[in-house]
Amino acid sequence: MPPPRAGLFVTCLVDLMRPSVGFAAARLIEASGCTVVVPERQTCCGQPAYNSGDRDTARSIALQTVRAFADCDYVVVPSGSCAAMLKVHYPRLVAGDELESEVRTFASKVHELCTFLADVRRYTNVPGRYEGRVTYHDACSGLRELGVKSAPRRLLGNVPGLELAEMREAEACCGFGGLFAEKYAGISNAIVTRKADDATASGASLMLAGDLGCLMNIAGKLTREGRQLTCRHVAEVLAGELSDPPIGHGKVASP
Amino acid sequence: MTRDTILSRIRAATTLPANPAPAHHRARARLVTPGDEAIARFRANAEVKGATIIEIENLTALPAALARTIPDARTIRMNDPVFREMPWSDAGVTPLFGAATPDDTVALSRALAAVAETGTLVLASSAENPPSFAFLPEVHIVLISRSEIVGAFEDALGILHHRFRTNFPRSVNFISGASRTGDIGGRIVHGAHGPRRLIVAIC
Amino acid sequence: MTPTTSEFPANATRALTDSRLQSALAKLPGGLVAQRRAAVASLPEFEAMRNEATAIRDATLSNLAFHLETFEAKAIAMGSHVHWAADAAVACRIVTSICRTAGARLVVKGKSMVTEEIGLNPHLEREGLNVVETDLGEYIIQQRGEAPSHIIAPAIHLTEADVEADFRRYHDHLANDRPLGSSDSLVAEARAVLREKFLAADVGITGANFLVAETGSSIIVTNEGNGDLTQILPRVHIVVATIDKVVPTLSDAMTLLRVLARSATGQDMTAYTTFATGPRRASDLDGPDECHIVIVDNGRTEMLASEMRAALRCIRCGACMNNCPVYNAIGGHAYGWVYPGPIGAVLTPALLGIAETHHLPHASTFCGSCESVCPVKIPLVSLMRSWRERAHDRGLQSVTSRAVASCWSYTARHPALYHLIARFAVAIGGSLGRAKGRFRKLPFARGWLKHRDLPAPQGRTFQQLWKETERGVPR
Repeated sequence: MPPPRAGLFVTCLVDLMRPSVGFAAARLIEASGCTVVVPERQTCCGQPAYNSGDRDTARSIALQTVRAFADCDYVVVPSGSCAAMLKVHYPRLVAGDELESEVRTFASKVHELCTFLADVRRYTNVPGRYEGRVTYHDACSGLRELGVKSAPRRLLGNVPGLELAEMREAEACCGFGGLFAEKYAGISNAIVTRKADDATASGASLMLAGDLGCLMNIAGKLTREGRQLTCRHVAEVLAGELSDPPIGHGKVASP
Repeated sequence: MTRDTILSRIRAATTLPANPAPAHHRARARLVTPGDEAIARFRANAEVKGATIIEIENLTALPAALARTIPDARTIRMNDPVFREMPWSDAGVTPLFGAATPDDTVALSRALAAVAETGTLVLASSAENPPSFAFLPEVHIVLISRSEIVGAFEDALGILHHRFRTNFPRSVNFISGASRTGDIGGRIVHGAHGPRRLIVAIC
Repeated sequence: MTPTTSEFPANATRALTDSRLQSALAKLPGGLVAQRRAAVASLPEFEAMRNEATAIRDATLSNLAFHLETFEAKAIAMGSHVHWAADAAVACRIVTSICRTAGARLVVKGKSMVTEEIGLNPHLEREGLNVVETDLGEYIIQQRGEAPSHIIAPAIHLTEADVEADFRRYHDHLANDRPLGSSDSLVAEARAVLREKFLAADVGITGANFLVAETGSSIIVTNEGNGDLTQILPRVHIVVATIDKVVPTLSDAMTLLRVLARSATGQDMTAYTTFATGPRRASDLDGPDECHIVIVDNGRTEMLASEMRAALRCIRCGACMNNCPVYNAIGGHAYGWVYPGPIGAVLTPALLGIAETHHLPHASTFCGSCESVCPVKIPLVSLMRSWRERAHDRGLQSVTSRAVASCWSYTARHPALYHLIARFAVAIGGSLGRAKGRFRKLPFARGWLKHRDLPAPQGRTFQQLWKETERGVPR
């Protein structure tokens, strides 16, 4: 039997801002026994349009995405919020019309990355190693819409040398919320300040999460305040892909 | 005109469900506790809410027990004829019969039932148990019989139904502890408007 | 209450920089959220009750006319008068007329959000009546001329020092040198002052947590006892309640009461849960001579007919706002009207129109905490999104927002164009940002950059790099 075809839904943030996360994810998916394909006709999951109230655009993007992954056995997403968009909200966008069953079939194949590795493929002996204390932020959509909570922790538990220290209120929102961080920046700042404080207080040197939007938000706050705590996507540590600087840090050593 | 308008707008907006769903909760199965267990559970839950619990052998022991618990009380407002024959003067207390007045500091009521689930008393208004007894004075004493302490609220509703069917008296009060507020600065303070202290006498 | 919902951004900014408000808000998470968690954990059946509570509310709303008529018939049979008010103005007129007929001069009130909504107090005062709020938190803010900042704890934004200053100002018949430093002494003083009002009042007005059709009763759930004194002592009792407050039976009410207190304040029961049915009976020694129930529509029938129906399940516990990161950052006043937090973001547009209120459903991260704690599972995020859709259809966002959104939407639907523009943009961004790895300043994203850096792109897109690494072999 040939290995299953896993389509990687890259997400626009990974595609544009941090491709190394995509490569880390691909490496892990392949190690779990799948062939990785990256359909070209994917752009964005459609959340920006959907959450701005533009249902028509969201629907068009949904259909585009569904068709791009038609020949895949799985659709794996290194982002809880994008995975939730594809799995939970795409069916709602077409509820009641003739596309519903096609979209439902697609949705049943969608998995957030950590859940895919740990629960679907039962693959947990990841190649990464990390010496040090790490803390984990539970991004909202993945947590509350998809139940992503223990999977990343089980995977991190198999990284030799890594000590996981839970932060206070790990499940609290980081204040990103997509366009919210720009439109209601003052409120977003109040929320991310609290998250930055809680993450720092854990004593970890590195903060991980499964969503690049949250990570960019928190990392941006930490570097603006000159704090030591750095941020990476959880896939980077699991795959042992640490050659790029952490999020928001350059080749030159900070400040 | 307005009434008909509202009702017709509501009818236009709603359709009957195929299977209307009245709900019955299942906690009762866990909370049905017989006899002594219910009394102990009631006591524990009421005390956590700040009530003072005293247990007496029979009604005639009540005045003396109250004199020990609230030694400063000289008068107690009450209106149930069954209290008339009790040895109040021996305990140094003057009973005041009739309607409550703003000067009353202590009042005595009888509860219809008590619920172990949360340490709650169930009182029903009547000439013998005016609800003002439960809210005007500083100290409220409630008398309850052991046999009327039940496990869950559903049992208490059963008692109310047995007594009143669906024709309730003016007030049915579920009382769980003394009056309290957290409205100033988030700190809990007792005696906001109702009584500062709740004493439950189990007989 | 005059809404300031359209000024939400300015309201929020003011709230964020109000240090007294911020220190009061800092008390909230530790308090109510933790208490709710503990109370929920202590009742193993909580989740099942939550499902049952939701089912009860939905079933009642589907058959609302029947249950309201049943309630009305029973309430009348038990001696109450039942009145129907299509909107705020009619409700105020009915209440005023009852007060006039009773020759009333002084009115005491228990806590009621709907009376805020219909603007009852100012209306009664214009008609020459003296109105006193008796819930301690409401009393305090009434003296200050403010609106409640929270459904359950209306004065949570104030400190003890604030209240002491207020009481010294307003209770000027009391000795100046009296000690008033602690919350104990403040509560004792409020108790004494308000006791006089209860005893002198002609009319007592309460809201209702629920109206029970089976018995024709109204239920109030309190800790202070002020609601009870309001409905025991004055000779006229008026209940004001919206159409969605009705529940069919006592048993249904019990399921809802179990989840209400736990969700609101973490108590398994509040100090007082009272069922009031009709006026005093012939043999009673106390109680009102008349009991009136005013059933108010004011926009609810429209909600019932729309996708907003689920919001009518609300039992006013306040758990959504206690658990909301936005509410915890800005408090209740910033929302600009009676109902704050996530439920406010859904209800206010329904009652005031989306044009004036569009900021409320937009000022959310959609974290979903509200939905996860709502005892009746109102899909608050979906409802806020529905309001965003209506705002979008009406073109209520700024021209810039709409332009940016259109460009994004167009490119996202044209993958080849998208990938081309992306390569170009990240190449520029990547080379500008290479050294530091982040931007402090840019000619866009001003809001973001005011408070935090924007991490720079790595410089190539994933799609570009994937093609360059020979069909699937990662670097």
